Amino acid sequence: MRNIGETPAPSDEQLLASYRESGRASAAEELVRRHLPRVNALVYRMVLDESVADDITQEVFLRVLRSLSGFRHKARFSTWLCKVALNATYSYLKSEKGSPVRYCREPSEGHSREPSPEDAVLEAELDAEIRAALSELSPKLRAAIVLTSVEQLDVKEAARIEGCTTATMYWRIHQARKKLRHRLKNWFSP
Amino acid sequence: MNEPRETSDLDRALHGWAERREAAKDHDGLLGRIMTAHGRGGGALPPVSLHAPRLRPHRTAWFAMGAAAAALVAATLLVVLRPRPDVVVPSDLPPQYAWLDQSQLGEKAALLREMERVFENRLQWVAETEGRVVMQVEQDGRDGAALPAEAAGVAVRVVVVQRDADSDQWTPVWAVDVLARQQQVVHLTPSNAGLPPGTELVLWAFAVDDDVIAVDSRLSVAEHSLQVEFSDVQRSGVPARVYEVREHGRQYRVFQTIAMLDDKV
Repeated sequence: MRNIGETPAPSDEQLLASYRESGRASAAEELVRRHLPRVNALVYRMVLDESVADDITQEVFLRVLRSLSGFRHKARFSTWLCKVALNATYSYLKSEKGSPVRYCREPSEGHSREPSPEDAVLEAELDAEIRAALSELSPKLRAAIVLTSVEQLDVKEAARIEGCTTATMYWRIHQARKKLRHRLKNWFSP
Repeated sequence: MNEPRETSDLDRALHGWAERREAAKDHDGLLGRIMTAHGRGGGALPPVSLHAPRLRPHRTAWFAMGAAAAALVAATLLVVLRPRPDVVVPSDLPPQYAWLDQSQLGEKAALLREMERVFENRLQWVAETEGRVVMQVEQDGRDGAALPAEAAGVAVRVVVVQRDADSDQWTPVWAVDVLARQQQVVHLTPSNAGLPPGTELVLWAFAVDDDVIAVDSRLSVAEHSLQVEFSDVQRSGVPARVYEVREHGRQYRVFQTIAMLDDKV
């Protein structure tokens, strides 16, 4: 809850205007700080590698900051950012074509809750299986499931980001879910 | 909505995976990296392009449109870009003929629509170079190679200029205009577009915003030993110098201009 008299946080549009007009580094930093977790998470869920995700995230923000003069408010800044981030991951994945997406067996540390040792082992195994299953999807199918099931965007928004029709997006989601369910069937109750 | 049990399990599993990763992630270091690199005016990391992947060209057929199509095109007001050897460019700014102005864009949008109508939406692209107009059209219209007309149209202009080491004036040596729908892969070769031997151009574009277009292009001009690869975002309608090289006392520059076509024109 905001205290009485507290200045409301500037909107993305205000920060954009401030950065464009005065080149204020603090405005740029606030924009990056605000959107970094989401962009980094999206990129990670696509490339499934922490180090690569960080590199791509950095490149995305650097290029976005350089391109801000071209941004128009027709699309939300966050939507535009998602598009740019996804395009960057596609570019990376294309350059890695021929070899499956590499994913690291990263330890699941820093949980907000402390699972029992048994649960922690199971969760780590499930996480590895999910990463493996996602890595086997094509980038388009992976993006469809990440945007809708994980990012919880509605189908229209996901289609807008991907530049496809909602019908195409529905089809991709259906295909992705079917493949994931099949790949992870041992983890789910019959 | 009633979803199958396993679908809900799948969603829960995905959410759990995502949340556990987020809980473990510290973004402060990355934020610092980004702002430091931004302060330096760029990143030291290898470039990562912001484009979506190229669509793989489907099976297509080349229609040698010949004189009839060329005449038809000429009648549809295409502004032909013909670099003339006697034209010189006096400054480092993009040459005037590298720009796509509103009048040209309007004419190109009308041309694209007209050709799509003529070929019943089987048109894939139109290219114009050295006074020749070439089109690629799907053979049977059923293999889905051409993009639907709802996809935004784009116009691309690529201009190669050169100058001798002792000259400060640039001379155009090759240029091409291309019209297509965004996300259409355009691949021009000597055989399909009448380009000079050893000249090849691959283009793909996607509008990430009204005024910003991701472009993926590759140009080879054997005659001048040019190999250009470009993969970045560009401002619509503004020429970008995408390549510069000095070889054997001669300097070359390649300008690329891309603009969205307003289909309402």
